[in-house]
Amino acid sequence: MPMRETRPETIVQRAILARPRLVALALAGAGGAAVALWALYRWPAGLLPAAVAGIVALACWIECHRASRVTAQAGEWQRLLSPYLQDLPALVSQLRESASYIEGAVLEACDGFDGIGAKAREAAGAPRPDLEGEILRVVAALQFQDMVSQRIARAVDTLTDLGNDLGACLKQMPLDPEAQAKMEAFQALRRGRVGAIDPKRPVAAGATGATGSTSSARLGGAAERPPRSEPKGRMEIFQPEVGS
Amino acid sequence: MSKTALVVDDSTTMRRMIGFTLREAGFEIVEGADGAQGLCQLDARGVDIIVTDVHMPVMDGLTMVEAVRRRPDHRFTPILILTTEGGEEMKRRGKEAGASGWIVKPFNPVQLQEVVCRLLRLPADASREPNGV
Repeated sequence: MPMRETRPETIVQRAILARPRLVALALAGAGGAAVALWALYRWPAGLLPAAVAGIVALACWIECHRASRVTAQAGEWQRLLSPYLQDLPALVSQLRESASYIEGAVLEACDGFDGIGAKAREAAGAPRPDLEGEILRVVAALQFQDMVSQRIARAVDTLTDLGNDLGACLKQMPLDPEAQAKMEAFQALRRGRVGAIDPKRPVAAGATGATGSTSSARLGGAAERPPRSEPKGRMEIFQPEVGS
Repeated sequence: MSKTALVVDDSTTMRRMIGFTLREAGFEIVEGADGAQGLCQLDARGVDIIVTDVHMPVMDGLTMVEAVRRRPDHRFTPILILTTEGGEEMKRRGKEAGASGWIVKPFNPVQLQEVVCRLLRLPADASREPNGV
């Protein structure tokens, strides 16, 4: 059901909402004057305006207290969230830089292995299965980069969305200029989120677990690594009879 | 004459690694960064086998597999899916799309070479021969 937005319609309503404390003071003064008129001159008509002015003044005071409580809560939220909003853009940038750096390093390594393989073949004058096998092992170990990049991309997405949502929440509250600047910085970061790594790729929970354990095992030293057996279900041929 | 493999993956490093592995087995490699680029490569030249990821921008791997299978000249070209996805549901979808095989990343290079050789009905030790595939 759509929410109906209520707007102050009259000058009095606007004045009460804009300056409730001032209006309350004015009405309290008017009420006091009406009571004084009634007391001094026994003016009966003064009682009604005095009562109305007193009720409205009381409502204005209540509004003043509510507004000040909301402002205090907003300030508390700002105090709690500002450090995180301040750190998030830098953190996201660092994660992107890290992913980009790792990718560059792995590509350089691949270039190097291409060269090593070619030189070894040249030197031996024939294929060197032993050397090629070793190179393949190292190249396979470099697959950690793809897994790490996917997870970093996911973390960057989550952090960016979190910052964006927090910013949207805080936007509805009265913000100080510093917090506003941080929010705008994060918005700018979000607009430039397509960076060195690919954030478009969703990582399935099951797949993440499976690749994560293998990936971290691969990061360990080769000497300590136990002989691996292929986990069941990692490879499947649907149509072995299909061929060109 | 060596056989040609089309490697489709949005990750440059993964394309390099898969390419390196298959090149060691004697294949010529052509690359695509997403399904649409893969299809363009297919238009440009003939390939003997396709190795593709699933999650890619522009066009994902399963959509590309379906598009490849709709082409009369590639109805029987072996297509190997190489992805981090290991769920049965995804495998079923891949099989329905027309994939010939499924390998979960991280891949074992020797296993990849063996599977590719099996799909192409080549001897398992073809990559160890002096002339490769």
